[in-house]
Amino acid sequence: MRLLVRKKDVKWRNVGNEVIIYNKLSQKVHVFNKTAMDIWILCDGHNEIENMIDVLQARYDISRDELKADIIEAINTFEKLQLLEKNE
Amino acid sequence: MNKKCEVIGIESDKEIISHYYRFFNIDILLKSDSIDILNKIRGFFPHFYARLDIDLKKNPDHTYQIYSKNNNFKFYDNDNFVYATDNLKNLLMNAEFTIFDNVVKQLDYVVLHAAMVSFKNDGILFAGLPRIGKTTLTIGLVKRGFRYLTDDLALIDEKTLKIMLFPKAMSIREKTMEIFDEIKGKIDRDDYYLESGQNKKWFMNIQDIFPDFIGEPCNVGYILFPTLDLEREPELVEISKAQAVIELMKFSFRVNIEFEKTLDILTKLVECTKGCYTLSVGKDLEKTLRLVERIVFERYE
Repeated sequence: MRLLVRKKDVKWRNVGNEVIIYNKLSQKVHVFNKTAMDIWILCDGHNEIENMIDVLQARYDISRDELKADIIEAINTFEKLQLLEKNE
Repeated sequence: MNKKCEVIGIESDKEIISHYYRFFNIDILLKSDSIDILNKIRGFFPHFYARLDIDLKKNPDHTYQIYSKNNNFKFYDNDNFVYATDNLKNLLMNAEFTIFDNVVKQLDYVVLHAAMVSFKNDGILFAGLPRIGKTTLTIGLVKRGFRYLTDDLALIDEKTLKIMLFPKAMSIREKTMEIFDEIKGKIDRDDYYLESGQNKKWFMNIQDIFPDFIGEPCNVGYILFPTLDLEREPELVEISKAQAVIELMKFSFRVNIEFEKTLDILTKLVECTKGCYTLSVGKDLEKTLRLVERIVFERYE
């Protein structure tokens, strides 16, 4: 099971329907939309992808497969930007 | 005050005169053997010139000295020699910049490169670097009944998130002067300063143009990011609040030193706004101003 957890040096602020994520190490700031914000909040060290799908399916009127694809895409982006720790 | 200056390296047998300024909580003492020079500098910051009934600090936060001898001028910052020149205009411009720059560095506010006017206690903030039309937009809106708070730097009070009134002499360029008859009628065209690039500019205080249109500190209702493109039609495009925070960070002072604090304050400030926009300042200033008016007035219709 792969648990997803945010890096400690990463700070974020919710602004309206978006999230601003600040990576202190890279000194970069990123803006993500509401869906990504929901996924980001679930990266708390207690969830793996299947849990995330369960939680978000109650909020979004899309199929489980579509939701999984969105979550994987968001996580790939977070990882590419070095915002997540890897917790196997 | 009537004494010979004793700072090493400064020679002046003339009477030394002192002018005091209070920029919020920062007290500045400016000394010179030339009342003309002191009065010229006072013209840059009349709002902050300290009246005698103000209880000034015993030791000012900063002391500047300017001495003249045979049309040679020397400028000192806390007894340290800064520069000498034989050009009075250069001296005044450098003194204005140095004094103001040091004040801004010491102010206990988050500072943005931005102008702000207000309408019925709603602030309209124009964030952007110099030369994108902030002063022109400010004067244009004040002429239409808005209140002036600042045309260059916006000081954000961390606790209330209000923008402070910060009037200093506006830097007026030729194109702006040509637009407004109120300025043309009051400015001395021969009393210009030369910027780098040899462009002429004039200094003028908003109180001298529209004395009854000075605003009170207020919160930001709308944030606009102007860009100047005289080939285009004016256009307003709404942007997300998160995007506005990112854009504001670019125009914030001290962002490299206090990134998280600045991000926090700007996030709170933007969260309280009613809308954030990019504004293409096009060839038609009147149309541009009407666009700005429309978003503000819609709320009161």
